[in-house]
Amino acid sequence: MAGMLEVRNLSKHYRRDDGTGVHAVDDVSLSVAEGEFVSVIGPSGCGKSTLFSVIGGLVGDYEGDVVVDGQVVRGTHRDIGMVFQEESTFPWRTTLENVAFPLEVAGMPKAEREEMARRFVRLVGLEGFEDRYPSELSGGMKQRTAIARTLAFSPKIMLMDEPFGALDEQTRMLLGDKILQIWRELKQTTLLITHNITEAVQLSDRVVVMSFRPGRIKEIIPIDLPRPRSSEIIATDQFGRYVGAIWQLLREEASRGMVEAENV
Amino acid sequence: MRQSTIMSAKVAFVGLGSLAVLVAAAEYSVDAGWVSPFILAPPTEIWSAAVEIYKEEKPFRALGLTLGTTLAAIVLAISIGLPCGWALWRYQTVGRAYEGWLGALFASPKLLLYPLFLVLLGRNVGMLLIMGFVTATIPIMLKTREGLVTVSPTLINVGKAFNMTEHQILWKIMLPSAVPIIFTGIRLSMIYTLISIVALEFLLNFEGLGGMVGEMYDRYNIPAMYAAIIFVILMSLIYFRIVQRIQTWLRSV
Ligand SMILES: Nc1ncnc2c1ncn2[C@@H]1O[C@H](COP(=O)(O)OP(=O)(O)OP(=O)(O)O)[C@@H](O)[C@H]1O
Ligand SMILES: [Mg+2]
Repeated sequence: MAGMLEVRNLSKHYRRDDGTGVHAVDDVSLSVAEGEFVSVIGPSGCGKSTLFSVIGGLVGDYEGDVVVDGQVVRGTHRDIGMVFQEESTFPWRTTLENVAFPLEVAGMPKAEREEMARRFVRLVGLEGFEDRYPSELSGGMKQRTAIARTLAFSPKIMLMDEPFGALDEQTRMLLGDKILQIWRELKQTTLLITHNITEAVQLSDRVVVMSFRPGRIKEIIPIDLPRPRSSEIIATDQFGRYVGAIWQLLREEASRGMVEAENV
Repeated sequence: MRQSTIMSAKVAFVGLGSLAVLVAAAEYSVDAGWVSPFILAPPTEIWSAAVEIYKEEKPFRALGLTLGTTLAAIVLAISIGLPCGWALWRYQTVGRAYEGWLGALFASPKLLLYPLFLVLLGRNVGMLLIMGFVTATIPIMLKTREGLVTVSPTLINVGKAFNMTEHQILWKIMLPSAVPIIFTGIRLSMIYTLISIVALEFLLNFEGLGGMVGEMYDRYNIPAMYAAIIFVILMSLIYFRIVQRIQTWLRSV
């Protein structure tokens, strides 16, 4: 099956002004099928966000290719939507205005875009908060606003970089359910970047485990759990075995990362 | 709600109360001969002088002139300062090179340059306008640049990810994000410009509020001078209030 999103032999070096460099991503190849949900997991600093930015076309000057629907792409692409790790809602816009933003940019008339934005606001479970500004919302609600805004762009591929990274475990799991529900409804090809093992297993068809710098693919683990899933699945033995296996792979990498961080 | 009403009533009481005490003290100290009437005029005389001024000097005409010149200078400063601030951001080398100079210029008393401007432009409204404009543009330029420089890179990436052009990103993301900081610049310029225009009017004895105060001063009419000064202060208070109101209103839009 041909991939909707393919990454071929991708490497990225960052060069610093002082002549030193960081080899952030090394020879990563990955194929995500249409409608598939894939997570990329790895220790902090292993190049996950770099991979995300390269695929999304925000970072150039790399080796290898990003292929969308059979076409090699350079730069940003209409079919790719991105949800960022950092706070990214527009503080001067209400929830509804934030979500309607890509539609407004595309020139859709006001009434029409508001109606459409309302649908996405409902989809992420923010009805009743349409007229609130981000400063009046919790962290999880702001991230849901950002997700709804990207959904309103109607990309074929959703890239998400630790959208729930800053949230507590309970909120994260509930939002995981929300993500699954949206994914079932919209059937978008999804690449989720995370450092949370439970989240990766709960949501994905496959989990890509990355090694510490330079970021390489260490192993790809298919998650053979029944769908539709919900967060209740974390109580099952099978779920626990996946979590254990991924932790085995990650433990070594994570401790290498920690040693390096202490030596800096 | 109730508590805050009580609180603001208390604040008003303390404020007005101490003003009344001050006025009474001023009146009494001149009456008693402690302070020369050439230094401090008794408030009752200031009041009658104020009535006089109101009848003869038309203070609201002076106010209109001063405010008109100030606002014209600011409109001019915004229309030129905004694009210049943008250019300082867009052409980084220029921006970095000029930022220090502009900051120093902002802090310096440009009013001292008035003889130069007087020679170049003559003693007229145009000269006031140009000097007011020079005062007003610098904070607007600096704050526009600062506002654009400090836009979160993530917000810009959101725009890029939505395939927006550089132009769209500027208008739809960068400028709205910079509005609070730019408006701080406009507020600063509104305050400094009013001050320098009144000071210039005073120095040149040129109509407006400053000219009015200068006139009373030249006539050695001490109560009238105080009356004029108090009028200027009251008008500035109202002006600053309005500026603040506009800022909070703009932020909510
Ligand atoms: N713009 C940049 N210039 C230079 N080095 C960079 C840049 N961005 C990232 N790096 C370096 O590349 C490496 C990978 O960073 P990246 O942000 O991709 O990691 P990450 O896996 O997303 O980490 P985290 O889980 O903490 O978000 C790090 O060592 C980082 O210091
Ligand atoms: Mg990251």
